[in-house]
Amino acid sequence: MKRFIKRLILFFAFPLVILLLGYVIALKKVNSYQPQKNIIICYIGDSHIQKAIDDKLIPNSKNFGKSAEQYLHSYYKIKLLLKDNPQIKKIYLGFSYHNLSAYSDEFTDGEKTAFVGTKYFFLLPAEEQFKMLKSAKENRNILLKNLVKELVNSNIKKTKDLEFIGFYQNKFNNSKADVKSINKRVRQHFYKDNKIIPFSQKNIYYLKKIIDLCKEKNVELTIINSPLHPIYKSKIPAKYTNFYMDFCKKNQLNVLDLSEMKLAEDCYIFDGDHVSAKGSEIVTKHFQKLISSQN
Amino acid sequence: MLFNSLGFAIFLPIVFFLYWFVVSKNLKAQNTLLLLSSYYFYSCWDWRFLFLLIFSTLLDYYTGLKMSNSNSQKSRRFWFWTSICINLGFLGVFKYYNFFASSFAEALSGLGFNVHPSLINVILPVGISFYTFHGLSYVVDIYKNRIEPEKNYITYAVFVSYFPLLVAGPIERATHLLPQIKRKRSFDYYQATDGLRQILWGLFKKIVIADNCAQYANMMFENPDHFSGSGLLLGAIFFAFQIYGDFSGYSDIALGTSKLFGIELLQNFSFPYFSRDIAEFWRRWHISLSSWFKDYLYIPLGGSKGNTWMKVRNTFIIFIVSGFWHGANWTFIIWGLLNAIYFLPLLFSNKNRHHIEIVAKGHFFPSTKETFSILITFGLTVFAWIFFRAESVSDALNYISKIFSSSLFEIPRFPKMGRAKTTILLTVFMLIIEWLGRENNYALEKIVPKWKAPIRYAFYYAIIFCIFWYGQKEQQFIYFQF
Repeated sequence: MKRFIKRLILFFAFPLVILLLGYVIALKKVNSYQPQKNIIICYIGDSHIQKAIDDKLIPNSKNFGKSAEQYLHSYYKIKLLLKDNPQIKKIYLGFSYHNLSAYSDEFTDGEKTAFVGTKYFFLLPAEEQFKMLKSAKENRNILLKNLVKELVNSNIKKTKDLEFIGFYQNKFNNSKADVKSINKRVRQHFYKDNKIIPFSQKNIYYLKKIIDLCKEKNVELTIINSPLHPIYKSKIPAKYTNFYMDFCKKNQLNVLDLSEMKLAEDCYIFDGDHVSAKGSEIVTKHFQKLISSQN
Repeated sequence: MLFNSLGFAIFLPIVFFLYWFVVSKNLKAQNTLLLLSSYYFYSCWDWRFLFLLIFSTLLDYYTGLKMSNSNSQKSRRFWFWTSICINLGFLGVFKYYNFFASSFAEALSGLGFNVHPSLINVILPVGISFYTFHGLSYVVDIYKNRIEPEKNYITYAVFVSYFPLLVAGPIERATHLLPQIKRKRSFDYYQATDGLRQILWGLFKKIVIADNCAQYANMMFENPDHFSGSGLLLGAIFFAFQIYGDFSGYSDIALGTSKLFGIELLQNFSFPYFSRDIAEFWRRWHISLSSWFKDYLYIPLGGSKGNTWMKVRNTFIIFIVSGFWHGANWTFIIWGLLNAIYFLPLLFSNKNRHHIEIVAKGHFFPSTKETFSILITFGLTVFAWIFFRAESVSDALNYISKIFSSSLFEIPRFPKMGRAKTTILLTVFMLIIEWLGRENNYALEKIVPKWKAPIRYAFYYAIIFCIFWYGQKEQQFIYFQF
């Protein structure tokens, strides 16, 4: 029996030691990330801001947006960016009403964590890492697999190419809004079993933490609402729009609301919730004018 | 709790530790631990059905004792039929009632009578077909004076509920398993490492082969109108490997797990896709069920004795009952019927026991004739699997008609082609390993231990990596539904 146990332990110890080593290296690498020193404006958030603002058109700025990013992830990303970079003066944080919906919790505590959350694993503190390991019960295999993928990537990729960083990307060159898809997306974001989905306490909590962090670091934070198709916007439950207005007022937030920008149908992608490549060009130019007029 | 779940990965080492470190010196305690672990394992699905399992165990235990203590044949017969009727009654109610009621109503509506039978809305208790068959064989064996009844309830309950075999077999025999449960067991290093190796190979077949093949098989069977004939043919082949990887993988994990506790279970698969005819296929596929039907149905019916008509009748009965055992659906009955039809030429030509040994024994490659026979048998099996997989007979016929269309000769196209190619490569890898190890009880049994340690360990790590890398969402084993 002793021989059996000894061999079994040795057999599993070998890959475990390698994993542990990889984990330490990945942690170190992620925490050593530094943006270029000329970056003073950062765009942070999910696919809405990622697809809307083309940072190449705005000097000294970088779009760190990443599809399905939640405020939990954004908070730790901002924390990392502000750690040794006092030159960063402004942060534009993407907002869309569904960020307030508990639908988003699927990406931090639910099944979709397996596909999204893993990219941020090494950015998170141990407590959140542990929570992630306990999430995605049905997709546990995929979660573990993606974590190992992330571990390998974090070890072999250059620091500037790490997955969690994010960048401007919009591949929707020939698209337009489609009413059926818009309705589907609205249902997905705000309704479950014909009832309005409650708010995501986690996203609201981390949104507040981002506000506090920016105050603490003396960084100007602006919430930016990317354009929404009029049909999508008209279907957002009042509960959400009212909460958002109250929240911004209460926290005295700077808000740049582009959600009612008049855009042609082909400036949206099928879901009416994101802009297309053409829409992105118009939005970025408009945004550029707005910030230069502010300056 | 699935064998391929994290829960089982925690459960198994705990039971193993308690079994060999805490209660190793006391056989009674070891058996009690196995029984409690088995009940816990079963209750992870639905604790309410645990009562059904315990009732079924108590029934057969009690009737076994009663039959043995009876002085008259009349009394023995009474207890025997009580057990048979109640066991089959449970199976009938849970598994077949809705099928018979709705089929009867459909038949009557064909005659112009409209009947609306009340159907029962209850899920099928996991493993009911398996533990009922355990109990039935035990009762029949006592009735036929083949064995003495077990007097210790714990021992008998472990025989029925032993967790490695509880939910999907192998269907054990009292003569094989009970003596092992009653005997003092000591830890055997080689048996335990062999068990781990078999578990590893079982997990590979289930997670890497079956679960990946399932994606494509499901895609084709659920939307046959979207694919070409060649795509659908490939879908049917994917299903053939899905069901093989799934069930033989499950059996390997069950047998390997049991070896960790010093108990050897009956071999359930013996490389069936290398069979040269359908009779050989059935000696190698789900062996414990085939032999159960042979011993408790085919032989009592007369077996291959008697005139040709009797032989044909018995063949049809055993295959149709075997199909029906899999589920209450006409698709399973037709699947059984097709296998009976495949079997008939062998029966008539008296060649049904022609291929007893494994193909190309002692040789590396099969002969041309053997290769041809293997391919024909595999083709026939794949064709029958279409009925097994389809939701209904009309779906199966639709699927077949779409295979045999002009698009049969097109290059198959479907989503995730790249991943499908990887799945095909992994399946070929599995077949190569199985071919190399075909003369053993399972593929890795003797070939891997012969390799030098670095190669052996590299192989194990590669298999673990594949399980990890190509693993999908945890998926139920197909045979759990039976």
